[in-house]
Amino acid sequence: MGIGAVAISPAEVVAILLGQLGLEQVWEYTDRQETVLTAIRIPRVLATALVGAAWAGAGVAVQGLYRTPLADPALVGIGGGAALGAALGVAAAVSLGIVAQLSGTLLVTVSAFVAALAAAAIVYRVASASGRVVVATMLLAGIALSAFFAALTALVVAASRTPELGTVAFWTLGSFAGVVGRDVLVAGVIVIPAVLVLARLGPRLDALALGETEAGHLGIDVPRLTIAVTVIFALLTAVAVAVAGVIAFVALMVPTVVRAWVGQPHRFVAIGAGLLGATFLVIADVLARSLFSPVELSIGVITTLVGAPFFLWLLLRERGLLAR
Amino acid sequence: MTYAASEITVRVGSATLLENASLEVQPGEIVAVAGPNGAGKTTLVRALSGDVDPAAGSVIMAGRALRQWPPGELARRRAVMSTDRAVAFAFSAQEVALMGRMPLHGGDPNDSDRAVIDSLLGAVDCTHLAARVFATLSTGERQRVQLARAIAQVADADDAHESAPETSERYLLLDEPTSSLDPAHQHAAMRLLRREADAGRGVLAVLHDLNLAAAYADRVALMHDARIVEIGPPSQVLRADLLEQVFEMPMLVIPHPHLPHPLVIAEPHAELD
Repeated sequence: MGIGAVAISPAEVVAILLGQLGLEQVWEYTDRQETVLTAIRIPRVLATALVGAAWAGAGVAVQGLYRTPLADPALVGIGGGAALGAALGVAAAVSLGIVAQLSGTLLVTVSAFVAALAAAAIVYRVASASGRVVVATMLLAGIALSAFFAALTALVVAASRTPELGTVAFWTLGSFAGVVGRDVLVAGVIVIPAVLVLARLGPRLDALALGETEAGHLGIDVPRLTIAVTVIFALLTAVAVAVAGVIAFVALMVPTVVRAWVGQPHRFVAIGAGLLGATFLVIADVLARSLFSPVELSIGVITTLVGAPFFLWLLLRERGLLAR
Repeated sequence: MTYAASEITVRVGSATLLENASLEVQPGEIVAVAGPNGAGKTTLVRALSGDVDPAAGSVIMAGRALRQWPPGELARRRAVMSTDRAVAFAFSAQEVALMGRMPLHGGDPNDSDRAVIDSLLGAVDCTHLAARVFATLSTGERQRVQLARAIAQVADADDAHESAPETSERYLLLDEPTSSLDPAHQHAAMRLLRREADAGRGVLAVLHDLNLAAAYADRVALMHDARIVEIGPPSQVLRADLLEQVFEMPMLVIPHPHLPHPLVIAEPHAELD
């Protein structure tokens, strides 16, 4: 929280936080430092952690449902769909005059969710053959869908001419620069319960690893599970995108790292991924705003620099399975 | 009480994969399903398990149509093993086998679930593979683990869950459970199925090895061109004339020199009458 264009030492951070609780100043700090910390840095760190957890949780859900570690909602077009929905939501909120209110944030999130669900339905329709998702087709369809949604988002940004919509780069590479308190509120209310529900569905996702038919023979209602998990990852992706745009590779990397760490059961993977995703993105955001300070990098630059080589490594590892 | 298919017909497009097939599996017996490739054996298993809806006919377990069983209750009374399917992620052999107990423990296995798995993995000679990643096992090893998983689903346990059915009348539908196994493991698997049948399970298994069917099955259902052409005790079904007609190659059937069942020998070099 201390790192950034306005330097605040750890001691000053503690002093400001205590000051907020009504305690007198234990260390000297300036009003400027206090404003930066409470209005910008704290919401930003919380939002970053929640968005990290959201992407990682969405990754666990998508991978569990599609039975492959090679899925990332940001790469298969679901993130792009959510970005288009969110951009439309912002444009609508601006025209309704509620863009700076909680209802505006909710509108953007709901719009992103609906679009993410639609994108997920398209991915599933294109990539599934007799009830099974073909991974290679899913990734190829994802290329086309992502490009298509990014182009549509650029159209919306250009056509609406509202500064609130930000830049195309915000939606496609992500940034936490514009985060405010109500973003944290909406994200917190959705992300934490969604990840916990996902963990509860863990044993059923484990059984799904055997195959859809086999899971059905174990008494699992596979169509219902599919809908529940799809809603969860669409919701998590929508929240993440509404707050900070599409941040690729977090959802891809974090679940695989967690599986190597805590084992395969989805119950533990969901919780572990939520925690690691939060930690990873907070660190990535610190790097994004401090590496070339005062110029801020898009956070997607950091995650992609780490994530793309990771994805290639994963492809190498899984190519035997993909060739089947 | 039985697991019964009556006059089921399965069509996909214009092709008839199964025609007017009737068959019953009683608790305590092993019914082997044999026949050439494409005869409809897998379709029969899929229709019996409810994976495909027959165009005509019905499947009934313990007096109730398959569709009327709540999914959880059905899973506690009947297990299905399909032909080799990959398991996603790096689940260990033990974790995969333990998933067979999922209908009973719902995600929280107890010590008796683990004991069931340990015992079954031992019976299929996979104790040394328990910690190995399932996806890295050989085809035969995966088949043994999947067999243990299927049997575990309907096996008796010392400290049963409340959800466990009170009746010992439970069923196993197995599509080629031994096709990739060496002779020693084939016989180990069949002895295990015999033990389960003796404990009250009704077992239906697709077997390509006619001598395995002769040695362990109470009854054999012989299939040809989407039909069950003969069903009965091995000595009645495994006749040279019938087998030659179905498999379209010369067959020699002789009494087993040491055991009370027939021995079937394919004779590719002999002339077909």
